[in-house]
Amino acid sequence: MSSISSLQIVNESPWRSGFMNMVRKENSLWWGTRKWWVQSLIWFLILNGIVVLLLWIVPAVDKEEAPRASEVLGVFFGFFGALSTFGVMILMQSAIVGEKNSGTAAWIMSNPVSRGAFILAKLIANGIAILTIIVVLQGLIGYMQFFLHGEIVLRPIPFMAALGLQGLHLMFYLTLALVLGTFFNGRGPVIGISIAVLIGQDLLGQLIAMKFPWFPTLMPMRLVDMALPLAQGGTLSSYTPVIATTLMSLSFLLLAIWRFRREEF
Amino acid sequence: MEMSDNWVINTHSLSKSYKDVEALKSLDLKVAKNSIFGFLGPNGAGKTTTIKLLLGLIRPTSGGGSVFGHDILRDNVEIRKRIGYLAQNPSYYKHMTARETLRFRARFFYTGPKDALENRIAETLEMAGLTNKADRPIKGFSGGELQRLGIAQAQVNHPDLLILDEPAANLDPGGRRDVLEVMERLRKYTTIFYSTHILDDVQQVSDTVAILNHGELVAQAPMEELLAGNDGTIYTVVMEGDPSGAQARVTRREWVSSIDTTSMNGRITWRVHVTDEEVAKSDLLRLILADEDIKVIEFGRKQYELEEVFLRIVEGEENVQY
Repeated sequence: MSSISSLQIVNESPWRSGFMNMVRKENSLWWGTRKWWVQSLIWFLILNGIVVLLLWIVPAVDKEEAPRASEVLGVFFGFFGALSTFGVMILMQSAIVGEKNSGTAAWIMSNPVSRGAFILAKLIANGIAILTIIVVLQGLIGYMQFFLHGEIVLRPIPFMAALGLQGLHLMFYLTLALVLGTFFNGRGPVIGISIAVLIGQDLLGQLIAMKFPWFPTLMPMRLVDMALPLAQGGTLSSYTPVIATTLMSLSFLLLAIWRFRREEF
Repeated sequence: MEMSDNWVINTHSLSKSYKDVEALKSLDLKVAKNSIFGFLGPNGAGKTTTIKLLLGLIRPTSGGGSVFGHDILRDNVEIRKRIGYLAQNPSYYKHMTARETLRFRARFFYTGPKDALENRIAETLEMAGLTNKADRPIKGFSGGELQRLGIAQAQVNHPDLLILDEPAANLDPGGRRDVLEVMERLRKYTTIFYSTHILDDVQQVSDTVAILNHGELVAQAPMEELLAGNDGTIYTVVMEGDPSGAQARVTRREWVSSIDTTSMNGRITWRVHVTDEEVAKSDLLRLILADEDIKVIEFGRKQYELEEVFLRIVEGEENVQY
């Protein structure tokens, strides 16, 4: 019992009990393994690889076929909006379901960990990693490429704001994956419903717009549509998608915590 | 101190149903401080359900309970701050080593100098016999090694209550002995509540036993009382020779209620039911040996084996509450 004397008992309020240790564990899965640089490399190849190809390699091979930098910027943001969303779905599909199925969630919950802390730790650690690796790092590399190319001048603040919209869009799918993970026990429904939301929201938006014309402005995909003009130096055309997506993401988070509190292990 | 302060676990009408199946029926269980409490029952009796209810992993359908005076439904985080738990089929993060697993769990409880934490982890690994496997990923561990890790992680926080669900499962005889030794050693620091179907182990270390069958508590008693049985005092005599004279003498005594006789290989066994244990202790053997032709080979008060008691209760649905 000797070692205990110099250790202090962790004293956290019940609602956030275990949060810091869970965040540390989740962070270590990203930053304590090779996952961070493997993901960084993958997303570099996916998002910036196309920019390298169109902005540098194609003009070097055939100058006449070279696209304009503004077109490449459109491709960059297009890829960002679509492919990184699928990436989040894949990365997050087993965040909750995997732990429930393997039994590690039951082990964690037999410790002084609140259900809310478990979900919040998943959100914070994965959110920070995804935003850092996919949004900030790839955005920075992309910005540097356009800056060095010099054909178009991108102002840093609007470009960062455009990345912020992309980041918010990804957070919507991250919280959606979390809430689906609390309701289902298989990866299929988690990724399937997420894809259905991504693909179906345009169709759904158009259908509902026949009755409520303002409805499509609530859809998260509007964030992706607004990102490119913003990066090109325009202004934010509407705050509605930003507010709506933030509120929906918060609702998903609260719903995930509510549902996970009712989970039996 | 009031008696209620001595109960580490106290449940009242605790019940759990899954759809149409009643897994636990109105359980009233009291576990005293610093006891080693054996929780027995056949498979599907409701032992694991009870443990999960106490930990807040599942919610009761009705009734309730407390652990350390904290409500199992409302204050289960507070309860888990003082508990170490080994699940029946535990799962840990397979990419972690044994040391990392203990470090991860210890950090839910302790903060402070890194050295102190690492020392605590090293002590626990040593106790569990895992020192030379401490830095291997646990995905390569055998069943026995995982069980040792389970016991180590359960007590890395020096819990006030150690809940072990089948702790000796997957262990060889040596491992089982080690587990029992650890439990004996921890008795002075902690209360141990454990479920098992290895009745020898229970008889060896437990001071109190509860038996659950079909979700119902059918017996709860201190080990000594349970082994003494509840059908009065019985003396067993094994002898050789003709016992008819002795039988007549013994049967005439008013403190003897009946004698059951069996015979095998030339040996006669009596089960003498007596109403006055003190008189029987001093007079019974003398009465038998008054007949010089009789040779007594064994004589003593009948002691039940736990297995015998368990089977009588479980198969006969006999209720024993002391």
